[in-house]
Amino acid sequence: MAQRWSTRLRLIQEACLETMGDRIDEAAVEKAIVNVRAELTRPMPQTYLAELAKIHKSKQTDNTPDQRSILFYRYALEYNGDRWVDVHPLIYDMQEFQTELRSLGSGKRTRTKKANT
Amino acid sequence: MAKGRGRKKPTHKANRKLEAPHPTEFDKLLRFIVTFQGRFALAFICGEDRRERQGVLASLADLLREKGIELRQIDLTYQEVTDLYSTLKEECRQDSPAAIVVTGIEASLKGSLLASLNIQRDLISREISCPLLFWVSNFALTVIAREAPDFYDFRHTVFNFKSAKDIQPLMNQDTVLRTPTTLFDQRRGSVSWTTFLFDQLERYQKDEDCLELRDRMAYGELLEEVARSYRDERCRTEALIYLERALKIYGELQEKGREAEVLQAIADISYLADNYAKAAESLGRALSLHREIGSRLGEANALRSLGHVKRMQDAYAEAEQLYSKAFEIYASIDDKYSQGGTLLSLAEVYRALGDQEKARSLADQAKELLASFPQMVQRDEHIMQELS
Repeated sequence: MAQRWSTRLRLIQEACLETMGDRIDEAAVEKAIVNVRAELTRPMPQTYLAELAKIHKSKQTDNTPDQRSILFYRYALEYNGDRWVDVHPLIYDMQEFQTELRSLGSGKRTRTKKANT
Repeated sequence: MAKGRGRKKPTHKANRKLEAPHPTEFDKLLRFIVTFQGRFALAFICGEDRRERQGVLASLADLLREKGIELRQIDLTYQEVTDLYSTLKEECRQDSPAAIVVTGIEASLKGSLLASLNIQRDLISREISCPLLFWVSNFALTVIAREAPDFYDFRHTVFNFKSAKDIQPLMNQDTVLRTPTTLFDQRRGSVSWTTFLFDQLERYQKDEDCLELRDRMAYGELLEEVARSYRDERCRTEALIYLERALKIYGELQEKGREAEVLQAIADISYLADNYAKAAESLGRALSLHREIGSRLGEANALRSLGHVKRMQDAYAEAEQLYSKAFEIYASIDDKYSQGGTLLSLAEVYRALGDQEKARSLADQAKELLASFPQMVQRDEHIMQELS
């Protein structure tokens, strides 16, 4: 929960910086999303995309070093309720992740909320 | 009335986006510093162009001064920092600035500092009551993000003073252009060369832990090439971060010759930064490696460089021994240029020891060996003039 709030606050801060006037417009929000995503994925190796696609499909992690690292760097988030795991929403919308997902055989967006967060 | 105002608004989404003015990175940076006055706020400024950096910081300082805000630049280029908190406290001992921008931290980004950044982040955020910014290269920022993730996570934002190529998406590994070494020679010095280098570096760094053998070698060469681009810069210690990474790669690949060359490059930078202890340590390691692989020229070069370090430390007896050993090896491989250069260094040692006659005799010998190298003859004449 705290992790998701941290991202939201960072998005708001970034949108404030990206806006010219007193109101945060859509363009500023979109630019903020691009900026925050770029900085979130900065240390992420390309090879994690395949791991993230697996996590997205299974909604759980398998405790391998890569997947532990994915949780540590918050590329995937653990939600409460029945403790399910899914990719970070900012990564989910990445074109590269969607390509990886398609190559894994998903083909379409399958994200559904499994439990109350 | 409300209806009328609504009609005036552009309805096409694309047009609206085009019309929406965006603040520049400079505007954002200025606003960030002004907004967070009197409070701790961490941000990174990412940029490769060292000249642009000084220009941006100078303009920023001018604009902030007009608003009554003092921007303090703390340049760590010539320091090896292991404890950032103490360094910041020391720098701000006399007066507290309204904003701090740290440059040149690349030279210190190694294990001990990175580990302490994670531990000290709360302390720094409590004790530093102003915006704290780090101007770093893209490579260095990724190192911080990976190896000091807790500190990196404290950031408010990252300002990107980089070219448009950085907006490129994460590329598929298959499409990554690997750089053959010959390309370095063809394109070195061209206008787009630096952009090309950093673009390649970013792609290699992304997957540095899972590169294949051939690609790891190419990555090491690329790191060396980037380090070379700092050669004539005042901030050349910032190249150390690339050389240390190249050293690690060559060590893992058991490429002892290349490892020794990188160690000598590290020693050269340390020597020019007056860090003689580090220069001597690197040269000692390079010397062992050259001896291990039987590289006579490498051994002589390391001995001669060690002689320079000892001479700067006023250890003339040691310097004399090292130069003599180097001279013997140069003579055995008939390297006249290096023989002459070493004799000139020896002449300078004797001059410092007060033995003018011996120094003159060595300079005379050097002159004969260097007859076909005008630049070195000039140095010889300069020494002779000083002796007389």
